[in-house]
Amino acid sequence: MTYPAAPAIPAPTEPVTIEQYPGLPERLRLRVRAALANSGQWISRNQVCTVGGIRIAGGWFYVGTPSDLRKQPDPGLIDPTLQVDHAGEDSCRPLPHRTTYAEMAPTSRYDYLSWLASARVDPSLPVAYLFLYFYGLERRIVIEACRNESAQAELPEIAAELVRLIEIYGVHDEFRKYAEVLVAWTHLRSRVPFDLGTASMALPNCSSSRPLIRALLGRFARDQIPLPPYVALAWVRACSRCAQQQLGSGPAEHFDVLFLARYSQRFCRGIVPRRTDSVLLRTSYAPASNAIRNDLSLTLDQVVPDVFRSSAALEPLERLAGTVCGELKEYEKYVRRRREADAAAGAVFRLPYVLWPAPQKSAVDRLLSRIEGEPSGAAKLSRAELTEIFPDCATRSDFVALARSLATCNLGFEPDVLAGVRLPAKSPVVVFACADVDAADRTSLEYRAAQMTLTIAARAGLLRSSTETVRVEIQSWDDLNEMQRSRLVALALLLSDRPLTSSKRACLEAAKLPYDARLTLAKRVLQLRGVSETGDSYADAVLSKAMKLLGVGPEEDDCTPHVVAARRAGISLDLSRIDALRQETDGLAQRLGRVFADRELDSSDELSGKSPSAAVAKRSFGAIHGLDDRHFDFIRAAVLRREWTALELQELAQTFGLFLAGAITHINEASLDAVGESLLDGSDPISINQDTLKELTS
Amino acid sequence: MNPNLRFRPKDRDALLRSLRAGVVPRAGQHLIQVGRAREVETLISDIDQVAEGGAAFRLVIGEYGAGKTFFLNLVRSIALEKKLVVAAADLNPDRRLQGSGGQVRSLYAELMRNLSTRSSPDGGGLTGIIEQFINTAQYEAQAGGMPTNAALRQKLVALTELVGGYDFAQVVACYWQASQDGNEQVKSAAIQWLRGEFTTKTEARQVLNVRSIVDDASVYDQLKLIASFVRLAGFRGFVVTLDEMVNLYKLPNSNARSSNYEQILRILNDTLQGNVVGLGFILGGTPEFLTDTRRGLYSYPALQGRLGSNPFAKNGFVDFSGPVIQLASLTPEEFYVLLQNIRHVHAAGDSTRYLVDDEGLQGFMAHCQRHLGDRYFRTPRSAITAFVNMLAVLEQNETSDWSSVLNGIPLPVDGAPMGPVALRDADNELTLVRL
Repeated sequence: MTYPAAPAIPAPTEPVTIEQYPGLPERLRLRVRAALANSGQWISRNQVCTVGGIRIAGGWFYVGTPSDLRKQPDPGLIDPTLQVDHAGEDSCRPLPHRTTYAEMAPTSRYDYLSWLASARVDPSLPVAYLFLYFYGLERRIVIEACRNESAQAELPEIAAELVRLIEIYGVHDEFRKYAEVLVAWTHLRSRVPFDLGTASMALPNCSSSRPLIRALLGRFARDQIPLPPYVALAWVRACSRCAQQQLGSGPAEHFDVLFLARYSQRFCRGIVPRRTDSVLLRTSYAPASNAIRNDLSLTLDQVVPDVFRSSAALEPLERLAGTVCGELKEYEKYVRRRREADAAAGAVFRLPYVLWPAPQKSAVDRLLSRIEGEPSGAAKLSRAELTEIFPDCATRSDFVALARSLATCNLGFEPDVLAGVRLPAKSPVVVFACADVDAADRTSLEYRAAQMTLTIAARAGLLRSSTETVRVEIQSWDDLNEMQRSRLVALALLLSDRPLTSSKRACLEAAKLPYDARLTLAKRVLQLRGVSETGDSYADAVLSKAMKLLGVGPEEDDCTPHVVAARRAGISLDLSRIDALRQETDGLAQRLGRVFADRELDSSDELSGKSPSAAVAKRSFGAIHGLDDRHFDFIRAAVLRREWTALELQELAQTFGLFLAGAITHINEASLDAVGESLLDGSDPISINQDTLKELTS
Repeated sequence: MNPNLRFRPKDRDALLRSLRAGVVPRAGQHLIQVGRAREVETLISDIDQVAEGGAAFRLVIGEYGAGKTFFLNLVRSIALEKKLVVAAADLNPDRRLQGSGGQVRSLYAELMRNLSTRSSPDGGGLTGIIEQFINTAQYEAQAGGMPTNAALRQKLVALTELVGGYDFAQVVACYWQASQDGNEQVKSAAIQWLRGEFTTKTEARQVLNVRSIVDDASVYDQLKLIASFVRLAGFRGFVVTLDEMVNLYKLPNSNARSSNYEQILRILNDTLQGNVVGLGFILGGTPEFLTDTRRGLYSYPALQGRLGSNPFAKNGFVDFSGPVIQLASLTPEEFYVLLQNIRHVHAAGDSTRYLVDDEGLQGFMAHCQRHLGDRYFRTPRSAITAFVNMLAVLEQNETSDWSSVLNGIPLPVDGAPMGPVALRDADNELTLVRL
């Protein structure tokens, strides 16, 4: 684990060197002694001090010898006259929780001074040393800042140092409590408002610190300064009912960390509390150091707005707190159901990503690096690969929780389990980069149509071509936003190796869309067919069926699979094949001409308006082959009129002993044999075909 | 193009009207037929075989739009020209070859309604055939000096040897007797009985004095009787064409499918073994109807063995002697020749009257390709309709040029549903996926 290092130390401008008393020249001893006479000297940030042979850069402690023995000595004051043992034997002796520099053993002094000389990040530092350091800072803030302009100017920096110490040594509750209060007090004491610029800091959360928070918020409201996250958190903790419920039921650190993160995301520059009626607020500071007692500096009176009285001022933060509580709800529910669930495998996935432990975060980093290596911005993972990256992700609900958490760090997940899509067992998944996963509205008509487009295309095997080709095609679908297109690219990747199965179900589902959406869907499927390198006749057949089920295509030029295929092919006629066909067709025409011989006439027939051919002219009406006398007499009587009713002609037929329908059939057959046309047309009335009659009688 | 082939204006107009309406012409198909000479020759030989008293059975198999119906109509026209009687019907869920709910009788009734002769090419030829038979019998009776009744019985005695022949002969005799008596009710009842429109035996017995009717179980026997009867009436044979056989494939019940396939097997066996006289069956269906081993004819092992393709007929070798004729979809070259034929028919065979030159034909094909893709030659119905429309416009606007007319020609996609979503074809999906 790495801890934040102390800020870079500027080059010393006013070096102060303090040697151990015995080694100093006499004149220097006097001068130093004189300088240290008044309760020690503050070593500022850009000063260097050498104590006990240890060169300490970075300052921020007091050095000197107590001059007034009646007063309580500053416990953090480094007395250079005291012995410092570089190789003591009792360095392992346990220290009391609170001690003073003067009371420490020489070896402990060496340890403490060594820590000061280092980057001051050693997490194993005894808390007693930490308090020694803290006493100096407290004295500088609480006492000196009221009287000294240079101390006032240092307040933001010292507050930042306190925050750094809290981050490293915050596990010590007592120290943390004092440090957090001191940070708040620093804000109050600073004449110039400042922001520590940290999202991980928190102010104390106890009833005793409530007036302090109240005054601090009043200060921000009075000056109309945006609230830093930790101040906002303190306000929420103090006043938000939702937050208080959450803090009462779940682990506070989850809420704090998540609230700070979400506050920074939601209100980048912080929210400014509303001005309310001003009141006189008296705030007191309870110092950690015994040396600071009964000092007027420990009390601060100021007339500031009392934001605690205004629920409206809290409203945006209340909403944010509600959101944060909602994000933690699933985790708490999961934890409640299982004992020792914190240690359970799936619990971590129920937490928002910002709360994940480091191993899981590093797994996400690995995943991100893999996605960055993909040109499409999406990585397809088999279930085994995914389990390797997230070993604890086992159940289907774990994957849903994982997808939800990944969404918070701008990683999308396909199949879209967050939208209710069922995750098939052992099926691969696609994780893709997406600037805002929630912006990909999956319920819009356009998106649903596009989703079905890919489903149908996959059924036809059109997504098996290169991912890049499909991605470029999807990126041209401009009725969708960028996030939706990213998700569709991922979906295409996921479906690319699906087996070819029936598209009927998808088509029937798509058929419920409005016509325009279906039309767009059909065109896009065919566009994919056009760019597909793997499409074949099977794809065309599937798409043809799909177009039918979709009910689009006939009146749209671009909605038939064969159009796309044929456009690519272009027209090319095989002339030799045409010649062969021509010969075959002519031969067939001659063959059929023999069958239909009587139906075809020579060009000199009536088309040219000339008289019938000699062959036809020879056929006389009376010479129709196959007519017996009765039929002959009947037809001679029938042709006297152009038209008969069926009843009249039946009576006429009966006079010749004939059945009418049989007679008509018989006569027409004979007529067809003779001239290729029927003589009697129609059923009722029955007309005499004059052209045929003319031919028969000519 | 055969320059000597000229046509009557009536034939030309009828053909062009059919093409323009997007329906398969019922006459004049031979004028625009392209290629498939071997297939046509095979069917002509089948018809000749039937005309000579033999039997035939053919399955015409082709994808949607391959021209099965056109081909069946061409065969039908040829059969009519050769003085055969033709009955045609399309199968549907209510018209099957085997069933117990009246589906077979419904198919038979449809066949009888569409019974065509050369002089009645649009169907309704049953009465004419019966009366022609009676007229012939009367003539023979008069010539032989015997009563017409006896002459009729003498001619019909050949039918009584067949299953159900006695009642059939009885009904024909009733028809004659009713004519003599002027009893139109009995005449009408006799025709109804022959058309399979009687539903109860009691009614048949009361009116016609016969003990049977045409029901689901007796349809095939009745068709065999019709085949023999038309020959007695002076025709040369009887051809039955059944289209849309894929409806059997679509039957959801496997038992129903099997029983229909059994009926096909019975017909196939009868025709191949020569058990029927003057009867031919030509069935049209799609490839899955034939080859699907789960639901098609191949699912019936006995049929698979009889209808299986010749294993040697591949790599350019063909065999048309089997009962199955495969029709491939048109190619662009065939479509081009088809356009040439239509142009020739439109110009009444006069090449000087062509309204579109060869370049125009190719331009039209390019136009179709832009709008329909390769569908324009695979399922050419809408492209042909558009072409005939274009010719009509050019004919009536002599100053116009084909290139100026072309872009205004609409090209609706053939076979695809318009407007509301069509779900009725969804059943095909399973088949499609399996392929």
